[in-house]
Amino acid sequence: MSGGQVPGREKFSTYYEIWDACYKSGCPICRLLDRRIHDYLESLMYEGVNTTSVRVKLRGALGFCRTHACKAIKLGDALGVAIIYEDLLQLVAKQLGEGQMPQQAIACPACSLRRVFEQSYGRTLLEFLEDDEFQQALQSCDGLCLAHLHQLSSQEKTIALPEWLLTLVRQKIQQRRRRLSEFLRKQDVQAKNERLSEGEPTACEDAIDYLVGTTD
Amino acid sequence: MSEGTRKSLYPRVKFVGYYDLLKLLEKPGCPVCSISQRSLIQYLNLALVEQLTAPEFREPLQESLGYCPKHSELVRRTAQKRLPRMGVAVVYEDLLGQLEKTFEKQDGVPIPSNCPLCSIEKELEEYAVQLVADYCGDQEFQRHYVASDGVCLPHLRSIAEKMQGDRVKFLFAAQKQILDRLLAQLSEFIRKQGHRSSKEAITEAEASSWKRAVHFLVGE
Repeated sequence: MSGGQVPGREKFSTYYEIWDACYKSGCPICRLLDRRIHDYLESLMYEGVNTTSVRVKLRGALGFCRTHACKAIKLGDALGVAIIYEDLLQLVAKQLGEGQMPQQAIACPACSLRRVFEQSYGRTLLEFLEDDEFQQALQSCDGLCLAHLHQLSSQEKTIALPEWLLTLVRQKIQQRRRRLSEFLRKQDVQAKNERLSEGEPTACEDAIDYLVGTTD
Repeated sequence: MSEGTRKSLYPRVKFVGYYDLLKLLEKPGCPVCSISQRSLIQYLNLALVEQLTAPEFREPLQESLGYCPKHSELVRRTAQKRLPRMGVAVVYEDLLGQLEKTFEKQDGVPIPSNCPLCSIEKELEEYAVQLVADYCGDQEFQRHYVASDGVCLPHLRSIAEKMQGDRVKFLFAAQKQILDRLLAQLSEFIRKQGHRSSKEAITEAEASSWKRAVHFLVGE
């Protein structure tokens, strides 16, 4: 590692958010995005359902995309969802009645918000990659998922990702492979008395999440 | 495929696909979504158990480095059962090995190609959409359609693109009727949340109306 303090950069809330997420399970960026979208949907359902600007945006987008609509259902605020979608269905029914096919004019608002945060987290990660404390946090996390690693490398553009980070990525992949191999070995009748160790029961889900990222 | 490029089967024959469609119309949700989801689950259950060594299953996966977020969710659900779970473990162990080698060679972060399940889903949807478009002029089908939940908005768009004239008019009018029914249930559900009506019983259809409204706009 070629770390140290990043000169002239003050550590701000986004830095600490990422730092904190590194000490929890899963890809830290996925975890933070999931939390952001959860909070956004929750506050929208709680206090934004009758707000004109929210309604206008949602009408333009014809509601949330599939992923975020399912997330809104999972939140379980039936009344909030019902009020929003009653408005949208009225719009769609009116257009169909006039012989028009309803079209989406703007992107899902939750997706737009997600993109903004995703870029912000990516920029902060790149800014502090050489910071000792940050490197330590990244070493102890489950690793960035492939999707966010890709985002990081494309944001980096001309400069290649540092060697220590690529070594770390390889280590995290090896750990996951080992857990999957062990899981498979212990399915065999010859190993039937061996118990699955920590991480092995969820090795499949962990590998899937690693390759695609966790959807919020 | 446009109506002109594919010869419609209607009204010459009513085959098993048609009767399957009628049955699905009796159930909640979009029948086009149901056909594609059901077939994708069947495909995954089969592929992850019996086609693990088949190059036609593994090679596209090696290029795509697994599935897209939507279909990864389906794989997660399939992996709840023991045998497909072992298949998932074999496939992902292999993919991680491949990824490890890429990083060892310092080739940069690999870019996944298109998800193989997306291509399969597209074909399945194409089949189901064509099926609805083919039989949209049939009276028996129309009766079943109006009484059902109809199709979701994304599939309504695809079906409408394949049709012209009276059949499009029927489709729009029928879907409007279906939506008006759903809206009435949704309004009742909202009204009964108020403290003045809190003692009124909420029917099953009203209770599920908010979820059905969401699924109408985005599919199942």
